[in-house]
Amino acid sequence: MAAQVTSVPGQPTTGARVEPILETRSVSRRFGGLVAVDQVSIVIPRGSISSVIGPNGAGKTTLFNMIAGIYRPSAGEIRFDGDVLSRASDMGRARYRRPDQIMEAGIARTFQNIRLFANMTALENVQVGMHSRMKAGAVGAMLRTAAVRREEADSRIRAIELLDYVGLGRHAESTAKNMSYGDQRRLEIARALASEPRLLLLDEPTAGMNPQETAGMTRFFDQMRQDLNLTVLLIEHDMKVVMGISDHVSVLDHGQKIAEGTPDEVRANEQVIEAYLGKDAEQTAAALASRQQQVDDGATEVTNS
Amino acid sequence: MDFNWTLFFQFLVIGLATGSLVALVALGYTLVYGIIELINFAHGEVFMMGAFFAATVITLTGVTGDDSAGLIVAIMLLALAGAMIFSALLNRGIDWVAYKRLRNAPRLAPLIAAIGVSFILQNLGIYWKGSNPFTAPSLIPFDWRTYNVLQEWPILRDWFEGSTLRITLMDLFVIAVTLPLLVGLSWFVYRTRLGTAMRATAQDREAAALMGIDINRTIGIAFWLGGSLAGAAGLVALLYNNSARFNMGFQYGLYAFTAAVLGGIGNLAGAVVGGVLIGVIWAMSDGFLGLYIEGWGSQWTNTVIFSILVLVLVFRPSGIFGSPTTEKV
Amino acid sequence: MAVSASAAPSVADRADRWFKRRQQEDQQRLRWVVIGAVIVALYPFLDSALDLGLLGSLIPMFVFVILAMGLNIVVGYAGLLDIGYVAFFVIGAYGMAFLTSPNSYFVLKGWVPDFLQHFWPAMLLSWVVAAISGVIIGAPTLRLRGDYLAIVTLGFGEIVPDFFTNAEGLTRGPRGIGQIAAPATIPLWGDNEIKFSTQNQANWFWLILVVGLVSLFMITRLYDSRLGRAWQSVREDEIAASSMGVNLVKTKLWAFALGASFSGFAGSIYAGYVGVVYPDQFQFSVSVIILCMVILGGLGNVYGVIVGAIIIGSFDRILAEKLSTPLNWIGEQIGWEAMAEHSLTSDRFLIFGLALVLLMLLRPGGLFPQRARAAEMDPHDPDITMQEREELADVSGRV
Repeated sequence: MAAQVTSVPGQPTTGARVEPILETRSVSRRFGGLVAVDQVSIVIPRGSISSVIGPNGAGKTTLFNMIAGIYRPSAGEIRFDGDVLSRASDMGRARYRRPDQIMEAGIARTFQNIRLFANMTALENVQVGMHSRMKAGAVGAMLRTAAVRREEADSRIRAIELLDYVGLGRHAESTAKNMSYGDQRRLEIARALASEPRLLLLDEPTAGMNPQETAGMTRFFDQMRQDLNLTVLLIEHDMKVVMGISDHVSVLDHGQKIAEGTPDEVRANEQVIEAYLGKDAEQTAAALASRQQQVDDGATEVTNS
Repeated sequence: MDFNWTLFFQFLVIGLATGSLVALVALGYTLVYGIIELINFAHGEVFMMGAFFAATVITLTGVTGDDSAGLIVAIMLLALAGAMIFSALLNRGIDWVAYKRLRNAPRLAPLIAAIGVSFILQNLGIYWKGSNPFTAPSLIPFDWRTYNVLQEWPILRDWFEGSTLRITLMDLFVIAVTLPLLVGLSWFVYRTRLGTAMRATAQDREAAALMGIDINRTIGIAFWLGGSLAGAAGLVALLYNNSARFNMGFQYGLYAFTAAVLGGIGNLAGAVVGGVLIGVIWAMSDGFLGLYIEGWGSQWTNTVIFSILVLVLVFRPSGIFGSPTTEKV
Repeated sequence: MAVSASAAPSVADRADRWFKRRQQEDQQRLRWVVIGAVIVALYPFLDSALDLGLLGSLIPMFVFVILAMGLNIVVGYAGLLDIGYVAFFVIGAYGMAFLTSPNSYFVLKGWVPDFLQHFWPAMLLSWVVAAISGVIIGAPTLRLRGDYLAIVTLGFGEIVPDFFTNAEGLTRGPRGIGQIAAPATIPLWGDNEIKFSTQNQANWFWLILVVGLVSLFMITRLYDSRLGRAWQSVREDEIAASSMGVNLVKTKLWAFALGASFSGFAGSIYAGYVGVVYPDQFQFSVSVIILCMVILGGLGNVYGVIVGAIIIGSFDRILAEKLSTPLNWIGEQIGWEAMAEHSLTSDRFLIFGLALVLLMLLRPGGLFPQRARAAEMDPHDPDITMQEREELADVSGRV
């Protein structure tokens, strides 16, 4: 299947020819016997809005979790801004970074099923996002030195700025779990932005939104990219969402990359159409089952590792 | 100093007997953990209560070691059945009162409740039998305790001529109670519909529920089974050690939990092997190591076993046999 | 960058206003703390005026209040169930004994410099030693899931006192170490001075009160800081916290270290007050009693924890004894012999056990639930699924 992909790792065949900000080189992830992600190489051009799409169970979230450091790749390498983020032993000396180190390096993320700190206020949530950009330690906190006080004051101002930016300025003191679904999604974005990322990973950010909200949200992503000089990587299973705003789209199916290119190129691709529409219902069911299997295997391996 | 093989085997025998007791208790931890992922901290106290109940039953019958052998064995069986039923009821009752409503709570909530139950039961144990160790009712005749099968039984007598190694009737008694229970348990778990339901629930509670398995009943069975095994162990411990105390459950319980962890918690066979291992380590540390290591004595046993507990949990939380596909029950 | 709404107050103003309100709340709370502290500080006069003779029970009770505040950092703030907290209490108490008792192995060997053989420097050092032991015990446990972590801490809670019992050469075994230093006399104006001997119960009382207030002050500041927010975030969702840049291992280790450090305070004062330490003082039940205090008061809410500790401590040390008299009297009146002879002190375990079970069933957030914790311990919280717990092992498993 990989042969059908014309690209060579590190050399995007399509899209803007800028130095990539993120690059995965033949990344795989196995859960037990199942290969959730199979030698996927994608390249995210700097300053772009890129998307990874694919039907449910295609391995998108697994790929995403590998970039974010939640899972270690079983093979391959992930590079960010010229640096190796993680590398399995097949590509040289193995190297893995923890999620917090990855965020410190400049990649922030949101979660598919919102994972806010539910019992903290919106402001506190954003402040946690700034954790890696702050310095105060335990001793400083107990003595509450001038530097610590200043840092806290600055972080509050910055947090309120960010909340304003995502349109939640008035909710600074609301407890996260009491906010509406849409607001929670926005808060997750504000929290992610708080770490001053260069690359923002959004995992199905419009899931559960109606078409109007979705349109508003996608416009907001574009705005954000311009305002904050960001690169955005979206993960979606709904093709419609990404087509309008993406510069570059990669398509995964059954863990493999089956196509990539501009939205138009991808839309016209035979394999993509097949992957999405399926030959019959049986296939869809199989895909679902394999996803469940992958989740289960993942859990087992994790417990026993 | 030469290696003293006789003493080594002597403590091995003691260890195997104690270990089968530990295994019985460990099974209760593993059965419950396998299904609801709860460390039933009060399980050791259920075992203690089983021993107390057995002591009370024996005392009530008034049968002593002076009565006929048949009667003594009958009373032993009666006390065994009584302790098993009592402990099973108790265990199920604890679940019903304290854990059942916490099924969907964060997993620390039922654990804290279990610690609470353990304290309650210890205090009830003090009310029942006082806070000092008490001697078991004198059901077992003295010459049964000293009956050394290696010197009394025909063929063995020839083989072990001149040896000081002893295997007494009490050692055999422990095995005689433990083995059938283990066989019965594995028959139940692997050969009956209910056992299959249990294994299915342990693997995936939601899927089992979708397949029409009554989850609550399955959980209940785990508590019944675990409780009855602990009750049996209680009676055996009472007669084997010839004494009991309100806090015996704490030590046995934690040792048994260590055994369950060692064998991979949720793994039935693992719990048995772990139990026997812990029993042997226990006996060796109590009696044997002191011969070779100056200053070693039974006071270090706790440290050794808790160190095993910590080391296994930290470095091999899936147990010594832990493979990624450990079958949970 | 901000798309600022015109005419609205500036961002800095809003941050400021929000902060001011927060400060006001803090000050209000501080006022209550001061009022409470003053009332408590006056108690020794009442005690001597009415000849109550309760100071001897209240001082160890306040030691437990400090212990509960320390455990609250680990369990309440960071969400790590430690059921072997007694280990740190042992270390704090023996730290004081090792440093200041003339019978201690280290003093006899001449390894303790003279300036350390006094109460105050020894207390600071045992504070540090307890914190370090928190890191040592905490480090291997951090990758474990909640219930496994609890059992491992329990293991350490058994191993540490066992070690102190058995390592006779070092610790004098079950006999313990006596003649532990009390704080040096503090000279005041004229002939006045503050002495710490067994006759000066009130001075000990004030000493522990001051140390308790200092601890409270430090703990509340910690909670309202970058580290405090990190603890909260870890407690709520480890994966999200990690993905937001929180170093799980470091954050949890700080919780263990700081939580343990306060038991260094408590342990050394206790050792100095009692004058002798021996391993039997430190049993599993001590861990459970402290845990009970934290849970009763409301995990995470330090003021609640103080109240919880006072409730449990006063039952444990005072009421159980005092209430037995009226109970026995009633027993005599109604002619029920068991009741007439029953001592409530023998019900301690039963009552603590019941408290734990009932709290979990009826009020998992404790009597004074902290806003955040209340929801988290709610039995019907659907947020925590098995799947997430499993993922979590992978994130935090990478030490």
